[in-house]
This record gives sequence, C-alpha cells and structure tokens, in this order.
Amino acid sequence: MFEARFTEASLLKKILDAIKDLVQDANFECNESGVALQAMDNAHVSLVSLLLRGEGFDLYRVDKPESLGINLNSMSKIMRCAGNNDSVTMDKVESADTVRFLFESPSADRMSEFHLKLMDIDSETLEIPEAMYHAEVELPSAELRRIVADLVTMGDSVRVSVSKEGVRFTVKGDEGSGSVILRQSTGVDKPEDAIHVLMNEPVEQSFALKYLNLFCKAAPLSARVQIKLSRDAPLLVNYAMSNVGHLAFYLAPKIGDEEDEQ
Amino acid sequence: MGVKGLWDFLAPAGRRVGLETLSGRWVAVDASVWLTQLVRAMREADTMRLVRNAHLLGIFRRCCKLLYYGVDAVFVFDGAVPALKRRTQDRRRRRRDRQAARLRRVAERLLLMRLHRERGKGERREVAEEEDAAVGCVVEQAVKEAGEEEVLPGGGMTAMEEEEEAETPLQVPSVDEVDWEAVASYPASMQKEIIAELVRRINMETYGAAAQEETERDPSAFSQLQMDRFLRATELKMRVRNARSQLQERDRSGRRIASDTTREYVLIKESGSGVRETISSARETTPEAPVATSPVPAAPLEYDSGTGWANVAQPHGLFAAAGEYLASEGNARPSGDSRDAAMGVSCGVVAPTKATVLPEPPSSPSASPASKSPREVDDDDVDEYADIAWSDGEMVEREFVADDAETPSEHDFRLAEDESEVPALPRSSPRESEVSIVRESEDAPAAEPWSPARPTEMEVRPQPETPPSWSDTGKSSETPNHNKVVVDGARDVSTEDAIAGHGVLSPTPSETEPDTCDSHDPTPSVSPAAPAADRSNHALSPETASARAADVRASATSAISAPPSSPPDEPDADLPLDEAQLRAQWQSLTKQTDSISNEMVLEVRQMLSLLGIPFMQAPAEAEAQCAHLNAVGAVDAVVTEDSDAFLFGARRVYRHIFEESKYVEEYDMAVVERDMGMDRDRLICMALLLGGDYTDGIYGVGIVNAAEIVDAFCDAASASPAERDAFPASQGLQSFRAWMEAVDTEEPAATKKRRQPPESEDKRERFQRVHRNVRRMWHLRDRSFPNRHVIDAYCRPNVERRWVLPDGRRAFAWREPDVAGLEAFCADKFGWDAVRVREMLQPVLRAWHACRRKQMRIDAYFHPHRFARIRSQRLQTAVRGMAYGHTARQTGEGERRESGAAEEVPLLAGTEEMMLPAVAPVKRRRKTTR
Repeated sequence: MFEARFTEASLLKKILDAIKDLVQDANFECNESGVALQAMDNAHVSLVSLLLRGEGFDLYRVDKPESLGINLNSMSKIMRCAGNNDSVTMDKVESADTVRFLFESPSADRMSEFHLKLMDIDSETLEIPEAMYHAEVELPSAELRRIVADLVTMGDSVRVSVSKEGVRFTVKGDEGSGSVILRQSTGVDKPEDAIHVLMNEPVEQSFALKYLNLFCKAAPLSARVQIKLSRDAPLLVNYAMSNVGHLAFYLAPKIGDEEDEQ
Repeated sequence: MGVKGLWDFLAPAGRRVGLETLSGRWVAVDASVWLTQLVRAMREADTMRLVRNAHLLGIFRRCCKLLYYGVDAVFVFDGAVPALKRRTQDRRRRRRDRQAARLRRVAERLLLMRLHRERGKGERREVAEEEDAAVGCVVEQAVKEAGEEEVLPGGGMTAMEEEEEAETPLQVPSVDEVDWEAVASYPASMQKEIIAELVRRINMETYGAAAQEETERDPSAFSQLQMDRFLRATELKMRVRNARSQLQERDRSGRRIASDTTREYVLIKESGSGVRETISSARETTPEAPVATSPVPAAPLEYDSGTGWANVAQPHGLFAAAGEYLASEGNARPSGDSRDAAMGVSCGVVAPTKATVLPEPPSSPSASPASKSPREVDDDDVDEYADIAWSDGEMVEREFVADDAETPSEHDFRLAEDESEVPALPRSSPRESEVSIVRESEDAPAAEPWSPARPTEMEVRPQPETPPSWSDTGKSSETPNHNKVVVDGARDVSTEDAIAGHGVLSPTPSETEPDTCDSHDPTPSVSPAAPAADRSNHALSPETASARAADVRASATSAISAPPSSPPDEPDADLPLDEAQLRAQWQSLTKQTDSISNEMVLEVRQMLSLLGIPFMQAPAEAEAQCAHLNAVGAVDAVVTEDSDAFLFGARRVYRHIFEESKYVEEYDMAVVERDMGMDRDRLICMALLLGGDYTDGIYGVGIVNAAEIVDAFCDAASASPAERDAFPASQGLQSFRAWMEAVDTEEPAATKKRRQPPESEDKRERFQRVHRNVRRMWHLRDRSFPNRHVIDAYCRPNVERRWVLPDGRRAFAWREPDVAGLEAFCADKFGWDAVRVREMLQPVLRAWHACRRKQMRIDAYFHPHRFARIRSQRLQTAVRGMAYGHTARQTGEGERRESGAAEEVPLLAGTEEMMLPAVAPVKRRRKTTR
C-alpha cells in the first residue's frame, strides 16, 4: 500500500511541467523516506533527479517500497483535471497495476478520481557522486530563465565561466555573439534577488542552451536556483523546494570548444 | 591468459556502459590480443582458409568504430615473452601431457582386459563387429572415467598434431632450416616442445605476438577431442587386428591391407615383383572380389577404409612416445635427401635403403611408424629425446642412413624386441632388403602374435620385401597394397605433405601406389607403395586399378602442392557423421594454429599510421605497457581481455569492447578497491594463489578460497612496519604457506576443542579453524611460493617508460585519417575501390571532426549500477572483510549486504560517494504496460 497526499495540486503540476518535456517515462521510487525520481532524457545528455521527502506530504504512507512506472505525459493530463488548490491523493494497493489520483476541492464539495496505468520501465539508476564543485552560483530563478531565454535565440550553446568578477554567460551564433555578466550582489533591498557567487577555482564550460531552456521551466517551483559547475563534471541546476525536497537537473557539458575559441 | 578466475572475481565491481561513453577517452589498446583473435576468427566458413588479410580487415573495422565513437586509442603491441611466462607455459603443457598419458594408459588397460576376454572366447570373427563396438564402449567409459579423475585431461597434444597439418604458422624465415617432416613425425609431446621452442625463438626475434596462443586453448575441448580420437583409433586397431588374424588363418602368405564393404586388398609377399605386377594381379582378382571377401572378413574391415585408416593414424600420434628410440633406429634415409632422414625418425621404422634391393631406391620411402606404448617413456625422456633429436637431427640422420643401409633389418629386429618387451607396437616395419626380409620374417611372427602380453594392440605389419609405403587411406575407393598399413590419415597428412615437399615421395610411378585418392579430395592422400610384391587375393576394383598409376602421380603432386590449410578430407561413405565430426574438429583446430607474424604487425602499423592512430611497441607484455600508461595517466583506460592489466597497475579497464552487445564492461580500480577491498598488491596475491601467466598457483584454490586467504592473511594493516616495507601481502602469503604446510602438527584433540569458535578470534584464526581440513586438498604447484620473482614481475614489469611525458597528457598525437593513403592501402590489401573506402570512411571522418566539439553524455560522468553480484556467500564475506575491515564482520552475515548495502554506508565514514543498493541489474529500456 502506498498513499501520499499533497495539499495543493499546483506543486505536482509544476513539477510535471518542468520535467515532462525532458523525460517521457520515469519510475517514481517510493520508500519510507519519500518519493524519488531519476531519469535521463533520450539522448542521455541530461539527468533529472527529483526528491519529495515524506515529511513534505500531508499524509505519507509506504508499507513496502514501490516503484511506479509512469508516463509523465499521461500523468500531466490527469493533473490538468485538478484545480490548483485541490488536494491530491495518490494511492496504490499492492499488486494493483494502476495508481489512483484523487482530487478534492478545498471545500470538499468536489471529488474526482482518476486511474493511471502503470508501466514497467527498465531504466538504469545512475550513481551520482557527491562531487566537490569548483564554483557555485545562486541566483533568482527568474533571472536565470531570462538569461537563457535571451541567449537561446542567438545560438545553441552557451559558455558559462565563473571568475572573480562574477559569472558570465556567452553565446556565439551565426548572426553574432553576446554575453551576460552577473556580479555578486547581496541584494540589500530584496534578499530574494541576491546573487551569490562562490568560486574555488575558475571554471569555464559550454552547455547546450536547449537543455538549459528546458530546465528553466522549473522556475515556478522555487524563487532561487543554484548552479554548480566543475571542470570534470556535469552542470548542476538545482531548484530547492522548501520543506518538500528538490528538483535537480544535471547537464553534460559540450567539450572541445576551448580549443576553438582560444 | 591472465589470472585464472580473476575476471569472475572482479565482475561484481564491473559496470556495463555504452561504447559511446568512451567517447573522448584516451585508451591504450592491447593490440596483440586483437590480432590473435582476428586471425583465429576470420576464416571462411567452408574452406577454413584465412580471409585475406584478415588481421588488417578486422583491425581496420575496429579502428573505424573507435574513431566513429571518438575514442582516442593508442595501440600497444606485444614484445618478447617474459621468461617467467614461458616457463609457466612449459610446465603447464608438460603436466597436461602427463595427464594425457595417464589417461591413455587407463584406457589401454581396459581395452586389454577386454581383448583378453575376447581371446578366451575364441577367435570368432562373426562377433568381431559387435566386439568392436563393445570395446569401444568400454574404452569410452574408461576414458571418461579417467577424464573425470584428471584435472587436466590432456589437451593440447592432439592440437599439436593438427598443427602440423596446417604448417602455416611456423613458416618463419628463421625456421626455414627446420625439417618439417621430422617434426611431424615426432611424438606429439615432442612436436609441441619443438614448436614451442620455435615459436619462442621467433617471438624473441620479433614481436612475440603468438605467445599467448598456447594458453588460450580450451583444455576441455581438446581433451574431449583427444578422447574421441583415441576411441576411434583403438576401435579401429581392434578391427585391423581381427582382420589380420583372420586373414592369416585363411591365407598364410597374403596379408590384407585394407578393404571396404565390397573389396579387400591383400598383400602377399613376393620378392622381386614390382608394383605393376601387383596391380595386374589386382585386376585379375577383381572379379573375385565379392566372393573373396567373405562376409566375415568384410564386415570388420568395412570400417577400415576411409576414415578408419585415418584413425589408425591417431594411435600413432597418440602413442606419442612411440617413435622415440624407434625413430633413432628407424631412420632409414632413402635417397639423397639427407634432410629427410629426420623424417625417417618420425616413421619410426623405415628401412628403405639405396643399397637394398629396390630398383629405384631413392624414391621409395618406407614409412613404418612404430609406436611404442607411452608407458615406458615418460615425458621427460621424451623431451630430452626431442632435444637431442632436434639438435642432432642431421647428424643422426646421416648416421642412420649409413647404418640402415647396411643393416636395416637389425634395427627392426631390435625394435621388435623392444616392443615385445614393452607392449607397444611398431606399426609397420617394412623391409626392403632381402636380408632384412629374412629377418623380418623372423621378427614378424614374434611381433605379430596378438598375445595378451601386448596391451596396445598396435600391429606390426612387417612385410618382407615390401618397400615402405606411405599409405594414406583416406578414401574408401582404392587402397593400395602396402605392406604396412601404418599410415595415419589425419595426422600423417602433414607428414606426408612434408615428405612430398621434400621430394622424397617423388615416387616413380611404378613404385608408388596411391592409396586412395579422390580426385576431388583436397587432401593429398598418397600412398606410394614401393616395389612390393603384392598379390592381392581379393579384389581391386577394376577402375581403381587402372586408374591407379595416374592417381599415384596425381596424388603425389597434389600432396606436394596442396596448401597446408586444405582440409584433410576423409570422406567416408560409411561414416558420414564421422566426417562431419572430423571436419568440425579440424576446423576448430586450424583456428588455433595460426600465429601472428612479424609482417602482419608491420602491416597493421602501417595502417594505423594511415588512420592517424598512434601505436607503440612494448618491450615485453603489451598489457603491462598499457597498464603503465594508464597508471601514469597517459591514457584514461586500458582496453584488454587480459586480467593481468590490473596486476600491472591499470586503473580502469574496458573489456569486451567489440562484442556484439552494445555494452562494454568497465572495471574501475577505485571501485574494486572500495567495494572489493582489493588493491593491486592483494590482486597480485590472488594471482599467486590462483595461478596466472607467471605462476601456477595453488592446486585446489579457486576465487572463493583465494579471497578468503587474502582476507585472512594479507591484511596490510596487521603487518608490522618492517613487513610493510617490502611487500606486505607476500608476507601474508608466507605465513599462509607456513600454516598450510603445518597440517599434521596440530593435534586432533586440540583442534576438536577449538571447534567452538572462541569469542575473540581474529580473521586469521577463524580462517584457520574453518579450513583446517580443507587445506589438505590444497597443494603447492610452485615450490617457491610465494615467489618473489613473480611478484616482481607484476610489480615491476618490463615497460617502456620514456614514452610518457612528465605531465602525462598529450604523450600521443592523433591525426586525421589519411583518406588518400587509406584508399591506396585498402585497394592493395582488400581490393576495395576508392568509392567503397570513401563510403566507409565518411561517417568516421564526420565523427572525427564532430568529436572535436561534442556534446558529452551524462553517463560519461554518472555510472549505472553494477551488473553482477557476488554470488558466493563465503566470497561475499571475504570481500566484505577486506572492504570494510573488522567492522563488517561484526555487523553480520551476507544477506545483510545483499538486502541493502545502503545500510552499511555509515561504515564508510564520510563516504565520498553514496553506495546505492546493488540491485538494479543493467537493463535496456523496455516499456510495457502492465
């Protein structure tokens, strides 16, 4: 038996919106501590890692760890049937081959129930090393989304370099090139707009803007976003959801650019 | 290759990754293994002929694939074979031979018993056939039983026999002086020795590429093969015997040589008469044939034709020792080819001499391989003999030529005596000289009786005045009359070839009688019968008779010209199955015979430079060089199939990189160290225990025991500082040995008391308690265990160090493939036109350019879970002991780990990496709706 209730359907909706374009099918691994999802996109260039802690739910109960193989598009369709303020209950009895979604309006006068067929999805779970990152940047998620949205029109890859002066996003395209620099700012007036740049070593790496653009769809989940870079590791874009968990994206770099540009 | 069982042991630390994850990696490729693989694998299915330039084609394809995936490879070629490795190989082979000999002995004895019983019942030929079958069964059983007892039922030997058939591998300039006939005729173990020696020499001179060949053979396959052949051979011998005795009863003066369902050939001694006469007589008798071959004799003999005879050959080979002294005595060197004398050795008893009666002495070789039961001769003798024979070959020959000319008969006589003492039989001992004839007749009776005293029922078929004949009775068609039927088919083909090559056989038509030559038969089957006075009692089919002379010549020439690799076909109408079997055997054996020539390596190098792939020559073992490059960081990983790479210090190894499956096995030393607790030193200890290229290991110790031993004894932490200075692990092994050898000193009572595990025993005590009894079953193969030299060989392999730049990186340069050069090269080597080459290279080039700026994949950084788990509980415990130290032991037993390794994570204080449950096997993406 697995049962989990969210107070608000909107959170689940946002999560689905953020990842359903990257990943089609995924296993929701449910165990005592919470729900985890890990999946790569088809090209194996990026990886989504979602964690929803049990404490973040209204009600959370897992008798035996379960793996729910779900087509995210189908789930997203079902979630669209829920009002933003509705509460959502997901449950599944053992040996059932469907998962049930139960939506209740805040006033408890409307209830809807959907069943979603489960799938067997064989996918490999990757070990993600807790690497030490050479640089970490924390910034408003809207800021990142804007930068990426701007640059994606210019070219298909962005060069991210972190140095003492700040973090620089550079794009080179057929028509021209451009760059955005963000400097460290404490955001005296608005702490939520602060930009923190933490650098152990300067890093410079290229990434496909296409993927970054998809990652930024998670912006509604959190006002702040963390970017971590390391020379020999994928980029980490992390959206922390207070009290609930996090949604993290990993993106493999493009390599070979350095020689071209230097 | 590598350390026995080490791959299995390491499998749980392996991961399966896609080939594309190697993209951008620098890898060192152990090219020699590839070459060997390719040369063996790439044969045309039907003819077994090596695909032209197979090695190049294979490497070319693989390189294209590597380039396509953006893997930057450095090819490393093998150098000389280290002495230690050679020694181990020798030892192993000898052991195998000995086992084989023992096996045969058992079978012989059984057969003998059976024969005795048979004798007792009287000589009823009617039963012969059934008996044969029965005997066959018995022998089979015996062999099987014996086989089960033996750890290594002799492989190899037969292989070596076959090796002669396809002489290709050893035709290296330096070996040119070698008499192949001579080699062919040695007993198998000798042949092996000789070939090994030659190969070694070649390798020393050049690249040592073929070194692994021997070790790579699958012993069980070979032993199986050998058993089969032995069975058939013994069966056949039985039949021949029956037929003979039968014949003798009927006709004192004639001797049956061969027969099949409808015909039989009988040889009758008549001095002075020539082959032609024989033939004519054969013709005359033809009509009678059906009549003459009374049902009784026909039945048993039926099988003798065709493959049957071929099988006869086997015993010759199998009773390897046979020829040793016989050979020395039997060196009848016909004609001027002094070289061929050596060949005489092979034959065992050859008595053709110019001086003798033969009208055309030079061209009539007499082959009468005498075989002696291996009993008498032990391997060492064989070896010694081989050496002597080898080195003194020519000298001896000459001596013998002289000797034989004068007193061939004496030699024979001696032989006969020898044989009677030793229940071994000379196959045939033809005499040409009249004098010898006389003697022979004397000998013959002595030798011939199939008294129970002769366990090995090999026959002596002395034919007075009949010149020696090589009769290859491959075919059921016509069998010539030769005095002796000594020829073996399959094995002797090689010898025959050799002979033919030397022109020994260049038989004068009149003298030679081709045995069975099928016009379509690619195998040269030549049985030149020297001027023999034959009278065939029974039929020769007219056609065959008439065709004979022509056939002889044809066969002779074909023998000469037949390519070594041509299949020795022994089509036997009666036993089609047999043929198929033989063929299969032959195919598998041929695969093993080829080795890598220097030229091949040079060609590959040329191709690599055209492809822009760097390569280097290792001073010794390629995998050691690869490992070194990896250890110093010049490359990211090693691609090899040899588990030795770990022992040489490789950090990351890719295996099975070109298997059909899309996954590559990746072994990361860091993972091995973390999860299995095995560092390089401990792996070396494992190698010492398990046996590898450099050492034989301990008999009875497999990966489970080895891991436990290493866990219990090779704890670096427990070693005193002084010990740690040297090689701590070896100290552990030292104490292990001491303990092992102290078996009997412990008092039973004391041990009994200790059966209850004491509260505080350490790992070592516990191990000693648990294995108290088991260790009796272990014994050291290497007296010097743990051998410092072996450890040194692993720790400080002979590698080229100056290739590595100080900063490691960029030690090698990759260039863009040279399309024009490759076009020319491919046209030359593969016969491809420019269009085809371009088509092939296009995607490669595109990928090559793309690789310069490419999107990495996430799984190049994050790795999937393991694909294999440790299955043995004991092994798990041992491994865990090493990985986590003492804490693990206290936490509990194996299931714990299995159910969730994650629970143990706290043990790895401050783990740098989350250890996820090793549950997820590698999966392909599979979507189904439940």
